[in-house]
Amino acid sequence: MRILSLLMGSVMALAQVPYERIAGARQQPENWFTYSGDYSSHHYSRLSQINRTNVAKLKLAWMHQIGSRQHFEATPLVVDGVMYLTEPPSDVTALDLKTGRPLWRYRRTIPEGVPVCCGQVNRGVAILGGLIYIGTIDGHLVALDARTGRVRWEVEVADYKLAYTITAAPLALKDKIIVGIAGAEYGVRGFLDAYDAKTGKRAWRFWTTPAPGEPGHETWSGDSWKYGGATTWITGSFDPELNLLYWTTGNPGPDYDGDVRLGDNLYSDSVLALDADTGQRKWHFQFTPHDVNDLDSNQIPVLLDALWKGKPRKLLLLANRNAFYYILDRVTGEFLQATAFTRQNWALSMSPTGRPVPNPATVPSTKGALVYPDDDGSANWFSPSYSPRTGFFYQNVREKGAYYFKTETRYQPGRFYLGAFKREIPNEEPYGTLRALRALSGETAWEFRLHSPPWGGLLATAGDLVFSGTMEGDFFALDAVTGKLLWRIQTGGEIWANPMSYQFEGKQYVAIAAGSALLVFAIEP
Amino acid sequence: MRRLWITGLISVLSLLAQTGEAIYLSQCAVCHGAGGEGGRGPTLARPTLRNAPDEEALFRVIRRGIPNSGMPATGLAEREIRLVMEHVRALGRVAAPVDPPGDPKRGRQIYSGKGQCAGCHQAFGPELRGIGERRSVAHLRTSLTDPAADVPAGFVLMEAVTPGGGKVSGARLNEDTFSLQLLDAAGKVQSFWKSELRAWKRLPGQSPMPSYRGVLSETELDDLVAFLVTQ
Repeated sequence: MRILSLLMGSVMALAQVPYERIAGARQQPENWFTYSGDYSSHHYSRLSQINRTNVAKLKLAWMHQIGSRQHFEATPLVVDGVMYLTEPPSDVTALDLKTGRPLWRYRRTIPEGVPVCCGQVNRGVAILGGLIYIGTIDGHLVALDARTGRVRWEVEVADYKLAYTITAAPLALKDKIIVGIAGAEYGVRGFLDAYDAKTGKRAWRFWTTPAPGEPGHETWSGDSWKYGGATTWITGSFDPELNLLYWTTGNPGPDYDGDVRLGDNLYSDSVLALDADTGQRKWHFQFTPHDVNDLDSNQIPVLLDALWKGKPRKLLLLANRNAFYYILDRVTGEFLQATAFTRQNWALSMSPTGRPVPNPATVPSTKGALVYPDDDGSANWFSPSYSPRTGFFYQNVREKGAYYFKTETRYQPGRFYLGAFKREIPNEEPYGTLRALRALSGETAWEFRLHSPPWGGLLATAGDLVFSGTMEGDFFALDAVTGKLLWRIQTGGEIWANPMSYQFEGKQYVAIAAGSALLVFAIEP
Repeated sequence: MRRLWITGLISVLSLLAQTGEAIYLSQCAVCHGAGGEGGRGPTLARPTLRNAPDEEALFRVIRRGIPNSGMPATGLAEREIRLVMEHVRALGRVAAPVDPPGDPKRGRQIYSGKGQCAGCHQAFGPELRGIGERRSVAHLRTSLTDPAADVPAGFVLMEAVTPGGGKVSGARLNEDTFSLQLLDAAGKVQSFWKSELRAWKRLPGQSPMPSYRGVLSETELDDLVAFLVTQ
């Protein structure tokens, strides 16, 4: 009996991830506790066993194949010898790190006819206590037992028939699970939710388009706020000291027709600083007021404490889909700086408070408007990475424009609510770059050219490496200081995900989803 | 009540006024391109569609989407789907030629004889099977005398410069960040690591095909076109 309870105790300990462990993620670089690695979203590994001197010997250690033809956009979590991986559309697999073999699988049946703009994809899970959390493409939040994959509770976040879907990894903090939604191409009204981690009871909801009587409502003409989008489809960041949650929002609806929603359209294309306990807004900053180019700001907010003009400040860094790299004070929301990191023509200039002067020539028209970047953006959901060793903010950049032609649109539930279509620029071949930006200025220190605009994210490591993947299936490592290519492998599938790293039994591994396989690499002597 | 009735009438009328093209542009073009050229979704500007070989399948795909893929259900009503289907089937197709001038039998002889077309188009030139469904008689006629006027989208002519200064040109089979594979005019695959090349570039607006202006007579050009549209 005593032995049994001892045994039970150790099994329990394996799957226990209290909030304090996640908050102290930097002290346990062998694990990967959140979608972006830690609450500050540096997407950086403090492991250095794989480094510039030995990365050339990186070899496949094991792989895990999935049965889906959807884009495989997952970043796995790793905790105490187990990897928790989502597979499209909304499945979870727990993998044994020793063998690469599945310990359990959660398979969700998805109803027919879920309206999604960009595939029935999923980017990852959250872990807290002994539970694993997944947001599903049919609009539910599901809590699974980390040891068995059995469903502990499940709640409907919103109705998928109205095109509310979930693709982002939830964020677990304190006793809550934060979950964002997608659907702004279908005229949904955006929000961010928090649920009690143990019971699934909703703790708060923050609507990202204000209702009548709420501040910001005046930035929408007529009833347009009801279909105003501003969805929350990429995982945010958290500052435990300030107790502030930083979450970004997407395009206003309809995407390209601003005439039906006059005004700034708050809080679309913004970053929101919310009290983590109550969901109350502390401040907001809108990157692209009255957006007509589908410039969702659903990029990862990177939190950095640094000297700014000689004074220590709590900063928020964000490389926006609109081609500007922003530095904000994350205590107050004060705009400090914005620098264009690639070609753009939608903003003529930027005011001292960070308000862009829009270029009227880039408003979609019946004749067609040439816009840089196109609606996939210069940046997008794929993760940047910040290395404290180099002081660089690494960003994969899409170098592409397009012509936008205005069309008629009206809101109908479950249908596209867009207002334009696009045409490619004849004889202009788009490309990509991996850029090392100086984190405190936004200047490009070096860039590495990619054949196609990328859809994968980045991982910088303490081994002074940056890992990235391409649409043609190359997975590679650059010298984080110089940008020199040090290692590559052809994986045979498009890379639509962020690399991550973990350590198991004293050995460092790097994992990436490519095609329909998760590949895990290590130094093989 | 009366206002409601009028609103209802207006929406019914606007629905009736909708064309397949208008619905396509508002609901489909975002992924498949305004002309069906493809983008996030596959190209639709082709005579046969892999996931919609027949009308029933096309209807099902538009209504329900394709499970386990990026194609979502559209939420369109049956009448709207029928209009979109008609539009989709017309994308990338030209109207059947009405008695093209020229003799296809003589055209066939020119194709494999005097014109010397067969060699290149079997080795590395653009696919001509089904060309009559994709290109009009006038377009084909122009291509014979001015080949670079409109090079097909998928045919990218490139030139690679080797370390010794040698130039290799050919149709691009694959290009990625690190490598390049060309099919040269002899039909041979030339594969390079970019790190081992001195330079490489696209040759936009150029065609390896010679102009047949002055080489073939007007009648012979008509004959050749008459043959091509049967392909």
